[in-house]
Amino acid sequence: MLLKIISNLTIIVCCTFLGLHMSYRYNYRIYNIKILQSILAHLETEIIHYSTFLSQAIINSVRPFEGEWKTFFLKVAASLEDNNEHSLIDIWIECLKGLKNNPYIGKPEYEIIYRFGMQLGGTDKKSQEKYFKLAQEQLKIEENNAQQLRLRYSKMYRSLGLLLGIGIAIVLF
Amino acid sequence: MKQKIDYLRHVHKPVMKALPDNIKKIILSISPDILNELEEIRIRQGRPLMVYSHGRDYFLCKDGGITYNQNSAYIVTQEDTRRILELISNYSIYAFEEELRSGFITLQGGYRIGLAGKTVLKGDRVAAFQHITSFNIRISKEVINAANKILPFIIKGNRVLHTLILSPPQMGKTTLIRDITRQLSNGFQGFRGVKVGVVDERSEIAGCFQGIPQNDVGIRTDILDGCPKAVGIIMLIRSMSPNVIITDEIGKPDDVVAVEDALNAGISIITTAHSHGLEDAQKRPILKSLLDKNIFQRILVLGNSLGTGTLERVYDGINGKLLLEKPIR
Repeated sequence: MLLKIISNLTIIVCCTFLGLHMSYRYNYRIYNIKILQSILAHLETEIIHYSTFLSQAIINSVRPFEGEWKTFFLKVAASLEDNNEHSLIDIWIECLKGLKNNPYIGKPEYEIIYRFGMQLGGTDKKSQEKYFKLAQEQLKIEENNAQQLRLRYSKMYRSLGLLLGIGIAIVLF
Repeated sequence: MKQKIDYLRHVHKPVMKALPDNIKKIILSISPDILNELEEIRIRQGRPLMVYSHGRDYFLCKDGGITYNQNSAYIVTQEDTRRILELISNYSIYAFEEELRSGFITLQGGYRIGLAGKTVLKGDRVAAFQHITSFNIRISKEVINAANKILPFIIKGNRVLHTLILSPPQMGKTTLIRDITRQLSNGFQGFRGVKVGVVDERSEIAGCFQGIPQNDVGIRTDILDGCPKAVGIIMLIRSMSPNVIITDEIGKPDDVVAVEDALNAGISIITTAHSHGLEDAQKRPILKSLLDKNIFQRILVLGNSLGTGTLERVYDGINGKLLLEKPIR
């Protein structure tokens, strides 16, 4: 009997954590989008106003931040400094692969950054400014979408986890 | 072979960093004889890869061998030119907007890469390059003490005379003027160093990379890099109080006005111009107007009768007297 109670309690706790984790994904995705927007804003300043070389511009831009996007950008910068076998596009795609199945990064922002990388560094400042503006606008839309998804599903997953745990426990009891 | 690779990797490292791997391998395989005298690497999309050495050009094969038949030479691809542009700009075309408009990029180490392709005009000014398909990588060489034999002609006591150096292209004019800058700035036996201002419109004299001179131009030298000569001379007069102003390749009407301003401010001027000699210079309106005004106290003519950089003639610019009768090198 005691064993049954303990195993059922374990199921409830696990399901609750699963629900919390699913809910956390929505919150953390928004956080990541905001970090990405800030990195791009810094990068734009480095490129447009200071004409800093791309690798150094990236390093300077990500310095105050943490998270997945910082790791990605630092990887790109390191590859640019070490490598002269691959083009920027190849390096960008290769580094971006590491984020493809990341649960805290949505497919839309992944694609925005993928497309943004195809244009980065290769044109004059005026065009670069346009690409930054476009990426920021698209990220803003994704941020709003992510907010709506969070409102819709975050609370639901939290409750669902607990309820699913209780449900399984009742069935097994 | 090892010595050859070391030579290019270390002596011309910035140039090697600017080349894609396949072209780098070809260049590294060239025979040491040609490599040591390398002056230019010519890369033209859809045409043979060439180097210029010993006063002539050579086609390069895929294995780095020399060929005189262009059909067996390595043909530069579109991917090659795209990669070179990415590498020479450090993946940052936006940082070289002004340089691209001027048609060249200066690498770390002072190496200059000339560019050609399809230009986009805004009015009568080049606004941008749409397709860059030709690169001329110039292997600049700093020849320390190259000006030793010339300095006695352009210095009187501790005063530097207004000097014009006339020379056809590729006769070592810039190398010479660079060493003159270094020696006047640092000083040498019998001459105390003076403040030197350099207007380096095409980044050739000091070879600045991000504002820092990559060539030794002396300890008392201030450089206005990438600045038009006429504007730069006036800026230096107003702000840096130089004793000598040095510029390369004078030739526009505005330059003449700026040179006159410098003279009126009591500053010595040393400059160069493309010309085969004094007679040739007299045929060019701008140079003629300068020469007629008897501005320059010394006129030096370079040539190659005894090899590149031979000082062929020296004139007293005021009375036209010939001060050097036999060429020296």
